[in-house]
Amino acid sequence: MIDYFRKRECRKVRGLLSGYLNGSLSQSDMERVGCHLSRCEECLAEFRSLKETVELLHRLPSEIASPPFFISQADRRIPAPKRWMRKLSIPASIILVLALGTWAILLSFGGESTDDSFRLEKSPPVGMLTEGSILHPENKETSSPPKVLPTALTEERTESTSAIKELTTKEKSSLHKSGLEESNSGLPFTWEIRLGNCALGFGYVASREGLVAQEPPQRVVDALIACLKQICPCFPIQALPEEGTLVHDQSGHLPIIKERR
Amino acid sequence: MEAKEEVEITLAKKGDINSFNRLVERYRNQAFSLSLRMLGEREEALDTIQDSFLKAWLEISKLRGKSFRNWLLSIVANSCRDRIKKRKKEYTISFEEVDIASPLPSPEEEVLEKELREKIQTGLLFLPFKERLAVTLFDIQGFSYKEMAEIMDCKLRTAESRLSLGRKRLRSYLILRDVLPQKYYLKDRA
Repeated sequence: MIDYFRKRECRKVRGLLSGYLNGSLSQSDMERVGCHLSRCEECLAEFRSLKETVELLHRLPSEIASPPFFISQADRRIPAPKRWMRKLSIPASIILVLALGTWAILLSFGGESTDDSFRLEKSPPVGMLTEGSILHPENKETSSPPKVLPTALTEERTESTSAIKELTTKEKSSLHKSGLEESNSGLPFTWEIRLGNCALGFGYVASREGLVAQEPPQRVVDALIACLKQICPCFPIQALPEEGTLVHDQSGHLPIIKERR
Repeated sequence: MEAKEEVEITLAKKGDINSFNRLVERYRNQAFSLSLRMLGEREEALDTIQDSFLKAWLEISKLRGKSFRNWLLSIVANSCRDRIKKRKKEYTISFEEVDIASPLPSPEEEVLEKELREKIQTGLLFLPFKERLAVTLFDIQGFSYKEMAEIMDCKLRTAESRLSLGRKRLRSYLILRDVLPQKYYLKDRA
């Protein structure tokens, strides 16, 4: 019984030791703890170890010199980025890049040119993609009317195809360089949008074998589709293909395709 | 609060950047020390106080009821907490302390002292964030209970309790790392 009361007192006192060390306890508690420590060796040892800990902490410098900082006048005008803005910054930048890329390609296919040799007689439906055109880029046959492509433009398209192939060999390094793979946003960056033979966006380029793999987050897909519709409302844009299916273009839809890792 | 500081705060609230910079300059080292103790990495600590100062500048109109120093340090503490939440990798101790106080007497003692300080700092980083903050503010930076509670934005009793728990946890760590004698550990377990 005595042992029980002693242990209970020890527990209470140990809870007050930090305050006792600081001298922040009430007069009665100070006396109570002091009295107990004079009788209990275990609590006294605990008190000493606590005191030594605090003494060690006192050895650390209370102030460490830092380089000077000055807020400039310009900082007054920079609003702190809101949390939702920060979250959207990566998808937004991707959308911007894709939008610019799409716009550039649209111009290259159907845009006005000062040089007539670069002008298509009839603009092909941009975004048209056949299975063959990806798997065998040299096969130009599609269901659309035959297109008359000036030599210079044909060469340009071939170059872009070879650029895609070249990119395939560098996929890993380019991904790492972009630093996007380590992003917290959950974007896998293994997907892309293709328009004809041109690939847009980040990530892997479709290989000859596999074309569809993991889905990008739905919000990204929605945002991309919305963006592309805005840029070119005439395109019917199909939904993301099912996982594991090949992309077929039977209706001039713009497919979003991804490569199997 | 000094009358001069009050004037500077009023001016800063009205958009006087020089007054704000003078205020920050006064507490820059304290803010950096707190950030460094909480994060354990010099570069990260510098980034954090830079962010905190900018945030303070943008939100100075919201300063009410607290001293500028405590308000600034609470912003720093919150920024440190956010940084710790975000970071994936474990911390590493990678800073050289530049003590503003007098230099150490001999190179040998300096080496020993440096090792000891590193062990204590590592121990600090093992503490849960709130306890680490309490120990840093009270035992290292020498703030009072009231100031500590104000910076931590909690009640006095809560701050006291966090300090007590932090000290105990650190003590156990230091015993296990042989910084404090083992006899304390044995006595404690008896």
